[in-house]
Amino acid sequence: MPEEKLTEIEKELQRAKEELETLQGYIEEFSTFLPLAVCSLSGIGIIISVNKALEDLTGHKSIEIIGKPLEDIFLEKKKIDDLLKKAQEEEKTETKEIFLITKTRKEILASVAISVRKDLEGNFIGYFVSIIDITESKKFREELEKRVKERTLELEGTKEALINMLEDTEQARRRAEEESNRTLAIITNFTDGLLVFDREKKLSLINPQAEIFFGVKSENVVGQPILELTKNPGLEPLASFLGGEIKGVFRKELQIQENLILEVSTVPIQREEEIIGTLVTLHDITREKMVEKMKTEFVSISAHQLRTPLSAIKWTLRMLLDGDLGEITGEQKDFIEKTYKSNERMITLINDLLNVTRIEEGKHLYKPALASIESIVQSVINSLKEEIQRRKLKFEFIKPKKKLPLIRMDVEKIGLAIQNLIENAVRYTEPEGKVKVSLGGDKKEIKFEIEDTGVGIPENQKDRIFTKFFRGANVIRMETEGSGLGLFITKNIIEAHGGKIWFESEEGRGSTFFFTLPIKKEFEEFLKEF
Amino acid sequence: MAKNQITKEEIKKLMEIPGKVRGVVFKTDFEYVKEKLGNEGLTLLKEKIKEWGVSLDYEKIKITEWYPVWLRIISLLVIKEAFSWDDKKIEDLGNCAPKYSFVVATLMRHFLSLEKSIKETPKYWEKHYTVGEIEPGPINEKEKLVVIRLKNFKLHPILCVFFKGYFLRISQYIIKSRKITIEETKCMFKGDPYHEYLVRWK
Repeated sequence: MPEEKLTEIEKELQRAKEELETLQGYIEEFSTFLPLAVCSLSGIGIIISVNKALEDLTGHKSIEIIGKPLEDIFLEKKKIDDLLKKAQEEEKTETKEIFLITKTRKEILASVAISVRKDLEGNFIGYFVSIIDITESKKFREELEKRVKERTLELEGTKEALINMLEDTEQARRRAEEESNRTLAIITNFTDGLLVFDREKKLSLINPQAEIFFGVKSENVVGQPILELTKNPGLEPLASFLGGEIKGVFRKELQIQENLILEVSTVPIQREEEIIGTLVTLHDITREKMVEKMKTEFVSISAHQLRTPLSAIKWTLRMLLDGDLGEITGEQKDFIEKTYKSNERMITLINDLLNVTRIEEGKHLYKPALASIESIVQSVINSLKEEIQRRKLKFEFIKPKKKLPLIRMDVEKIGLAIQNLIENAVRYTEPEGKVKVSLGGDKKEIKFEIEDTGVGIPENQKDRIFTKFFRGANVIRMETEGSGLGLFITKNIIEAHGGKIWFESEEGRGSTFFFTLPIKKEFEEFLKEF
Repeated sequence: MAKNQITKEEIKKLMEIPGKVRGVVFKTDFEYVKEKLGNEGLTLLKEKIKEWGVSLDYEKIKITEWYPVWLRIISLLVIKEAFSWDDKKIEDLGNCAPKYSFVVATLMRHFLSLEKSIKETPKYWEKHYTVGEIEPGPINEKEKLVVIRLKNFKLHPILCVFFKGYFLRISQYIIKSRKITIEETKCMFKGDPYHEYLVRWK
């Protein structure tokens, strides 16, 4: 071979050597840097080379483990053997979790991957092995699995709780529905008319009975505000009566038609503290009113029919007593006087009954006239003077300091009311007792007051004192006379004049009755006419 | 001074031995000392080399380059003297040498099976030494033994010890057994025509 050619070959060889050394250096550096623990094995599984990461992981220096079988650094030897066989048989990378044993005998769970090495001709020449410490990831995975399991259990618990809640809710819904249906059935079949207004004063419910009362259909009126309902011919009387704000009423009569009178009551519907609507109940009292009217008419007719003969009896007896019909004996006179008094009482009773019937017929008032209350009181006192003296009562009339204005009133009826009050005080106060009448007032009203030291009113009967035919149990015991109509009539007279009446009483200690009458501006206008 | 200290004359005589060796063999010596004795050991070794007046800088050695084969003997002798190592230690160095060898790692295809490995040993030898040759000896798998013969390689007795360890390691790479033994059954320095190593395993 020529010398030049030889030199050229040597140079080429030198370059190849240098490149090989560079490559070796690169591989060493790369192997040292690689964080993954790797090693190469001979064809029979002997460790040929290891990198630094594997030294760090196992705690062995390379010199200590190179030349040893791979299985020496693992706890489960057979698994390594199987993995090597499998990698070679299947010619692909095989991975398994196997416990590694470190130099300090610590066991580390590792993921071991093994793949076969081949030369350029494709012949098997050994293995490459990578080892990853999966202790932390395994722990993390286990912890995660545990947490997932716990969370799953929690969720299952929550799910169960939710199902229970749903069941409870469903049950509650069913109960509410049943309750609602029951309530609806009650409302529908209720003999009274019912209307429910919501908080915006819109009609939210009307039951069939109310539909009949007003001749309306639910679908045409529900949802309408009460002010709108005043335009509905059927509901107009009620809507007007209740007003836009739906005033609170209790058992107020309302005549819808000639043959339909309803007793109207309103009740606020509350949820906790909040008012969420108004219930209007309508009780048909047409029949009761008719019966009452018939009764009143009957009493009225009867009283009228009785009063004429009683008047005739009265004047006949008067004539007998006055000797207009001839001389009578003393004994005859006594009998006739008793008969006269009884007749007088009967006339008074008949008059009371007539007053009551007039009150009930609404024909009671009145014959208005401007009058002085003081003179009326004085007149009544004068008429009862004899009786007061006979009963030896200490009677006092305290007149107003300033002269009271004349007020517009039915003189006869106010007189009757005052008479009833003074008569009761005189009649039910024991001899030597006190009766005091006071009269006063201010710019707005006149106030009448009568105080006695009489029998008083039993506590449990106070609420019935102004009702028809009522007489206190203690009064019945001491005095057989009296119709029980006086205070009923009095109350109606005072209220018909726009006044108020009330009392304070203690049984055995006495009573005080009060009434007021308003002094209205219109009276002053009225005055101007005179 | 230790009594077995080498003389300048002996060194000079060694330098007359012909033949070449791959730089990788020095690299394995260097790594072994470094591993066993650390930088202190390396410093001591450098001082000893300087003392001997030999030009051997391990860090500048190129693994694929050819170097005089006598330098191989000097490297082992200087290590032995520097650290007062006995034959057993040198044998261990030989045993560990393949572990540090990049060349060994790249020649794994030769160690696929016992039969193939033995068959390939002459080529393997040629890649390391220009003197001497390996004769693949008979393999008796039944008796679990193999014979390795090294011929025409009468350089220095320290190499007999070194190769005892070295061949054992190669055997360990190719024979899957935990109990592999090696024995130099013939030695040229004992008048035999070649070196013969008997490898047994269980």
